[in-house]
Amino acid sequence: MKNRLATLIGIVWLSAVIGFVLAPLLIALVVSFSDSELISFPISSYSVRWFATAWQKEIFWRSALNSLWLALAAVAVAGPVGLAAALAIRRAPPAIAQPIEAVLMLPLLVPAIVLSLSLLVASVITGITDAPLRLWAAHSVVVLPYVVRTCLASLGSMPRQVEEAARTLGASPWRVFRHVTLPLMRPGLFAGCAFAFILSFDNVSVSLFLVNQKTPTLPLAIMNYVEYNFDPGVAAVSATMVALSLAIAWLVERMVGLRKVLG
Amino acid sequence: MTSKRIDATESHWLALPALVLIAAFIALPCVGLLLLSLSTGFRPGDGWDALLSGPLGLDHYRRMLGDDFVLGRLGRTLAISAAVTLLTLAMGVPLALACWQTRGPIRNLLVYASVMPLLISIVVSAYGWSVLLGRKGLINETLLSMGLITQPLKLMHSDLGIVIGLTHILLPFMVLSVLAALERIPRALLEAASTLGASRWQTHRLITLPLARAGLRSGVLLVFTLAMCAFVTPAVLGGNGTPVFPMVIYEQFSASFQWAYGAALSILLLVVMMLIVAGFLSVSSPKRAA
Repeated sequence: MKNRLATLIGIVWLSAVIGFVLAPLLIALVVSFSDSELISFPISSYSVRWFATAWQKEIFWRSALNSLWLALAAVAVAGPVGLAAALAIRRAPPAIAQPIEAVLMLPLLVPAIVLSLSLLVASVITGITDAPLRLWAAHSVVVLPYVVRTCLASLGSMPRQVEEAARTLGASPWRVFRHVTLPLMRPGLFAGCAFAFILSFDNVSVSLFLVNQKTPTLPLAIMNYVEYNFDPGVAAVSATMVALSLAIAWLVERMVGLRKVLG
Repeated sequence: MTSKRIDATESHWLALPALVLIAAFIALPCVGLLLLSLSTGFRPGDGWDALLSGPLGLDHYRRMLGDDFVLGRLGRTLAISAAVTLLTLAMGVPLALACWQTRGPIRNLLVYASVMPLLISIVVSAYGWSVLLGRKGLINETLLSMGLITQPLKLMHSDLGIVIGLTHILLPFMVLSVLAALERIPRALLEAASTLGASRWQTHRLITLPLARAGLRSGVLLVFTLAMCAFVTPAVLGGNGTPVFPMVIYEQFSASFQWAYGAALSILLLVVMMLIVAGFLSVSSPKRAA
């Protein structure tokens, strides 16, 4: 009897927690389909017009393109660089591999505010103040640990013998990499890059200091917009972003499993 | 050379590009920030030569430690972080236990729900909360129409709003830390406990949670330090004059152009963070009888 009551309390609490986690996303989703000029409750009629209206606003589609290019550029750096680093870590003896891996996880330890402020200061005192360039640098280094981590995870599940066999049979290191290692770790690499893409696309705390306010990234455009506007347009833009994030998360889950990427 | 241990030494260089990235965009800028916090003559607009050759001193640190406004904000940030940590514990531990004990689609649902805030841009989450918590938000409108309140509650633009928003985005870190530790516990232990007549609550209190202690510890540290450094969620949900410490740093750079002072404040944030981590670890580490 006491046991059953405890179970019941547990289930109620868990449902409340899950409701709490999903509430802000669900409300953005619901509001994005509202038909009214301003956000108000209860929502009287539904439509998809805010999706069209919002994405026609130059500030949103232009900043979405900025974010897209930025994320692709960051992945273009972090992908190959992270892959190479993972290969080195995997082959090195632990005494070398562990410190390298620890250093490569630094972007996860340094708070975003310190990371972006120090880059801002560095960019100003060196005179290299081009906003896209410094955003590119910051995003590449911020997403790097995730690529390294997923590549290491998929290298870890690959038996060493396959590479050694290819090597013994006379293949050059490059051929071993090209025809044995890379095909076997492709899911891990892909998942790492996809996750890195979405992290860069969604990022706001690192971009905030480095961005040029006239050409913001999408999350910053949203942040600026909600300061002065209270229409469902932002909800529609947010809902689109959520859909993109979830699609990529689903892909990552299919390829290697989300848990491996998140650590 | 036999090719048995392939490329053991010849492949170290592969890590070089990654290390160069970290050095160029993390290590050097951080050293620059430290230098800036010590420089007494630096003005915005000066170049790196001015920074390297200018006079150094502890002026900014001295000013900072006598600044009641700064210290007050720091204290309030620590209080908010503590509240967020307690809330993520209360929510995250049962969630992690549930993820660990269920199977199949329910488990997937629970795991997805718990990592959801990590997958969504924090701007989107903050926006969702502002729709819920605002003066004319769903919660206030519902309570007003039910007649439970006569005045809208100040849920947003308050510390409560910041705590709610931060708890939401940091919950996944708690769940993942605890779950990782739980997954290392052999299931046979639980079966043994239930065979011996322990209730579920007793099993958790006496066996599971003590064994998952390392996960609880890392979850608490992660959430607390991330909460201390967060500023985007507090900026949206806390409104103008957001009382968190990172916002004070932000203002030195965006509004008052006191860069060196802002740099010193950033270093203070890092130092406080490290002290808390060290203090917490020394208090909470299990004392091993050798």
